[in-house]
Amino acid sequence: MTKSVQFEIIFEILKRFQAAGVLDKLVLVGSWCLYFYRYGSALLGGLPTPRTTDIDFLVPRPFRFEKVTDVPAILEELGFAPTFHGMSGLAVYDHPELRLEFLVPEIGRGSSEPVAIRGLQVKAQGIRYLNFLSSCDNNYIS
Amino acid sequence: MKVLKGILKEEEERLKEAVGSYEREIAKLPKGSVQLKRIKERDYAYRAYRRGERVVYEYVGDLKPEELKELKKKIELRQRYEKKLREVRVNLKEMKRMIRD
Repeated sequence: MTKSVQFEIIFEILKRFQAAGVLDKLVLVGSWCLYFYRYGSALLGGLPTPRTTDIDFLVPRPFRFEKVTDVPAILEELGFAPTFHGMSGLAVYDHPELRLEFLVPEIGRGSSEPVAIRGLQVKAQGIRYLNFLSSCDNNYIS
Repeated sequence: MKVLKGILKEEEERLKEAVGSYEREIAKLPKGSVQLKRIKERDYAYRAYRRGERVVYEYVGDLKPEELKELKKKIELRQRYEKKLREVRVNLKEMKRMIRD
């Protein structure tokens, strides 16, 4: 697997999400953030930018989608295949170079079931404390 | 070194899962290609695919244009997935070699 291939795929995903009007409803989290901070000159210096083959998108709560977007179809066009985990319908999307996953902040008592996001037509895994990332506005970052 | 091996093992597992996912999705989709034959001013759609040594032409029925478009879309998706499956298998082979070395 080559980094340049991964970058091309990720840029294409971002472009397609942007064209579909869903990119501004998502937050890129995980190791790939560092790359984009550096790409946007937000991260300077000699920090390493290790990346895994997992690319995670956080969907902040509450979900605010004006329309329904068939995200699995977008990913299908890019050659991603759904990998279903158990009978819950939770799917991650696999590609020879990458695995894409949707996450949501877990709230309340939490649940072992994935969270259905109708606006994106996907099911996401709930993870505790992710709301710290989604509730953080630009003032905290800069 | 142990950490690195762990990461490689994890990636190997992911690729194995990806092989399963592509195989499952491919099995759901029609194989071959759509070919149109013009007979007496009318187009008839056939699905051509290989069965062993032979190429089979299967009449797909009197499809509406949108149904034909859908069939072509599914065949294209199958071809895309077959290409990706080959890539995953190459990556998996490489990963196994890296773990072994």
